[in-house]
Amino acid sequence: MNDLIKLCSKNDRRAQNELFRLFSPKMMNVCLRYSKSREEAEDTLVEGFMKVFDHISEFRKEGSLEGWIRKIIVNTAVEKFRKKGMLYATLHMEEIKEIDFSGPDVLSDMSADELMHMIQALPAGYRMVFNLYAFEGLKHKEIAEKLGISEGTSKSNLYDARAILKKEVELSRRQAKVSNE
Amino acid sequence: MKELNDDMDQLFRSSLDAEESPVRENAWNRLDHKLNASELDVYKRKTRIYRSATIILGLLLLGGGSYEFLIPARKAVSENKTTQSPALADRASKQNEVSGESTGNTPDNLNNTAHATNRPSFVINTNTDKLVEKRGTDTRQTPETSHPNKHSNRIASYPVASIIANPKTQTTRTSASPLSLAANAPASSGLMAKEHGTGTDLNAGLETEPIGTLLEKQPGLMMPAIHEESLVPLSSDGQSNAVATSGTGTRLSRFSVSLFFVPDITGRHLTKDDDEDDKLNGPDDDFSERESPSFSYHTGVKVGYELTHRWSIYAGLSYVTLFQGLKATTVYATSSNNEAPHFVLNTSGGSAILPNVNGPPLPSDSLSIGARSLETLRFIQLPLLVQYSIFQNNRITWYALGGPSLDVLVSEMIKVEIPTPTGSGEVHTITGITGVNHFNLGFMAGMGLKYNLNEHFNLFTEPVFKCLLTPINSNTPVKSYPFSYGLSFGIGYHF
Repeated sequence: MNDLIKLCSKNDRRAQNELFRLFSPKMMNVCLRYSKSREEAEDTLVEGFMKVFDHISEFRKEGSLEGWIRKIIVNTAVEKFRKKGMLYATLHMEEIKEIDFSGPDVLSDMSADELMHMIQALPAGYRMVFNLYAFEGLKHKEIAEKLGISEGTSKSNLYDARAILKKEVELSRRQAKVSNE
Repeated sequence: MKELNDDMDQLFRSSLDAEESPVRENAWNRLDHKLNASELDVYKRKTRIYRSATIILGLLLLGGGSYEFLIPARKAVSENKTTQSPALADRASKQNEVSGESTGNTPDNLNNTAHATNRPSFVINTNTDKLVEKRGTDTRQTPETSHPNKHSNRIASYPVASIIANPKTQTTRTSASPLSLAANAPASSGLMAKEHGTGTDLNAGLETEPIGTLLEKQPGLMMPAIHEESLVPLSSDGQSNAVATSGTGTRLSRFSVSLFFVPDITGRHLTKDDDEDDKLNGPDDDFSERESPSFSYHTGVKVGYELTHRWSIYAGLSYVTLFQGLKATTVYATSSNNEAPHFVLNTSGGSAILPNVNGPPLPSDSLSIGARSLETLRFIQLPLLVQYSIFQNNRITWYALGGPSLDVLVSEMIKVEIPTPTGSGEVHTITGITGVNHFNLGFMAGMGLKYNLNEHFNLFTEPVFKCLLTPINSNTPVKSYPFSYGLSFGIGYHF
């Protein structure tokens, strides 16, 4: 891996291609979670890897290379989101809250693709906060700083995102139950 | 409720975090294209920086030279204030110049005064129609600088400011001195100090006072030193009859020789052949994207001959190396004249047949060339340059130079990275590039600053621009004209 990093830092295209093939499937999954569509995710992936190759000589090997690349990809997604501006959907949260969520156990019956689509269907702001909180493990204060929003907005977005996801999960479960019957 | 939320987050995380999603091939192609463009940007930026540095250095030389050239007198007066007597400093600042005929001061008077200032020598015109240098007890006549003078019984009248302007005239060469003495000047005005080359009368229009009178008024007045090389006769047309003399009075040759080394950045200007249908599309984007400027160098020797004290010509011999970076690309196997197919790499310089590392290819097979590929062209360059000295004094010469050159190709080579079956890349050297012209006409221009270490040796630096006027390749639709920006460093020897 060290040789690969060295070659990549020398702009060796073959090594860069190898590194891309090695990490791009996992990073594509990350990009998909932060994007509304596959095309948008691919843009983020390409942009992110451009940064990876630009700065790979700065990789200090203090952590894993995968973790370092993932951090860059997430930052690229956040940067893109901030450039576009906050896009919030006008949802009727009262309706969502009325839905009785059966519990997280139902998630185990759902495929990864279904869950991915649910996340992608979230409004951009909610999706960002949910991803940063649930997947990257950031605190609300850190999310607020990263996205340029208040801590309260971050909490509120996470609450709403979860409510939407619960609703989607519940609807999906009910549809599955009906089709089974 | 919190527990339920945490559980849901955890389940999303465990379901999706370890997942992988397939990436389309198109993504890598896009990334590859962006990386190429980015590299090109870096090279362009480097070229811009190097070019800017060359221009800035040229402007600094221009500015510095202009400063030295335009206001030497003011500088000298201010310097003199710290070393001369207050009386002279005061008078010099008021009048700037003093001139007139001798009324009773003998050469020895002046000479003694000069020695009182610990100056090395003092030169005046004497009854013998010779310029005589007195240095301590050694008095020598210098026939090279003598000139018939009807107004011989007269101390040369020189503008004080001009004398002061040249206090370090213990110089080695007349051509580097800004002053000369007009020995055949009219009696009414005495012998006038003139500027070399231009014949400008520095004394004109200024209030003057005879030196003798000044010395009578100010017995303790200390005069600056004047060396004989500063006081040489002018011909009737106002031009200097100066001959180069060393500090010991020996004649310096007009010939010089210089060694130089020039690190430079090279690129290629690409144009389409006028006969091509798509001539309006501009330069070939394919080559310009696939090739990048590189750092190169040239080194050599040049022999100079001084035509006048401002104009010189140089002829030389340089060994020029032009590197051109080749980016990763795909080449295809082709066959011609019923020969076996082979991979051909086309560059803006020519074409090279690649070795069949992985066995004989089939027609239209493709091969990915690695990014470590490099094209190298080596020339013997025979330049003929004309140099004009814009400013010169004892130590510094600031000049511009330019002229044509004949560039003879002596070797061409491509180092190309070819992938092996194991996936790693091997660099192969191909010595034959077809289509490269062996004889090319070039041009170079620059500006330089020369610093005389002593009467023979000097150091110089020159920002230079060099280009080929004829395309480096023949029989190709895209014409390639290499160019370079460089900074020359060298050492010269004046015989």
